[in-house]
Amino acid sequence: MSVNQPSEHSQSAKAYKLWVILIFLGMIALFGILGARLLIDGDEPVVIGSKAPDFVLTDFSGPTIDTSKLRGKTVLINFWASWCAPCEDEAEMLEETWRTYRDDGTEAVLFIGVAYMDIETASQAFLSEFDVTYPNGPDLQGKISDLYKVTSVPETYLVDPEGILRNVKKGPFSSVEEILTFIEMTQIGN
Amino acid sequence: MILKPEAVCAQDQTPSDDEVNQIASQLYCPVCENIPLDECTTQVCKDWRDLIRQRLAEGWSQEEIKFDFVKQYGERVLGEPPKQGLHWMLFVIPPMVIFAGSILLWNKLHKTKAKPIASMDDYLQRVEQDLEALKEK
Repeated sequence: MSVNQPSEHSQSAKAYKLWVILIFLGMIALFGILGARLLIDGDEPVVIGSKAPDFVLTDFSGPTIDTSKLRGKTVLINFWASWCAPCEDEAEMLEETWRTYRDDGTEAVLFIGVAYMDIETASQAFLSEFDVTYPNGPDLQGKISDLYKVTSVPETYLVDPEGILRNVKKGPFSSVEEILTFIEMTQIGN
Repeated sequence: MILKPEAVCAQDQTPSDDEVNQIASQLYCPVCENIPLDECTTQVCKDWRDLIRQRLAEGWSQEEIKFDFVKQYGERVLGEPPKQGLHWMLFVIPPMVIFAGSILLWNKLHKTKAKPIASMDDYLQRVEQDLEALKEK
């Protein structure tokens, strides 16, 4: 009758331990990679008083806008979509406010519209309908809304001439006066 | 009245809801999370389904439409992550873990089954010795 040899036992025990170590190391590597990725992606909301994320927007009409090159100007960034009903009410007020800054000749305040998860033809129809004249472009692959952690539209961000985020509005503006007060925050911040 | 063949073809080329939904079911609306595009009732998803229908009518393939959606809205719209980059891990690691776990389990069970009980070892050895002694007699 055969009886297992002690050497066989020790060999299989070694193989077992080796497997356990390999799986353990594999799990550590997996969690390490996932953790590193989470750190890189970052999930911190953009905080008022911190540096506003810079981005490059390709305007629907062609030219690109690099926000890092807009230092010295106050920049209002509005996230909107053609399928968003509150954005319709807001669009007219934003355009009216924009025209007051555009026509004063100082170019101290710039407006930028970012179409969030929208179809380009629908976006352009929306802009035509509300006669929006300030630069607007699509948020390709959601990269800009990811930078600002946009969760819904409309959302509006105000960046001061030093590139610092000064104000955030989640939801639509209710009047032109409210938009003007929102922009005056840059003066208060400075 | 005789219909021109191309007129008939153009009518036939209008994609059906099923054709649209076959692609829409593989895409997710990033606005309403965790709802496939074919089930979502919001305006944005309706617009996207119309876009799929339009693309199909223009002769785009399923892969071309999906690629265009990813180009426009990012990988978040895909129901299944693409098999590239770190996403490969999602496809490779689970089978590897199951395989490694199976080996460990098999090894453990095999060892338990094969491992002789110490008291039985002694007893068997004595029986063998007694049998040998009987044979010699």
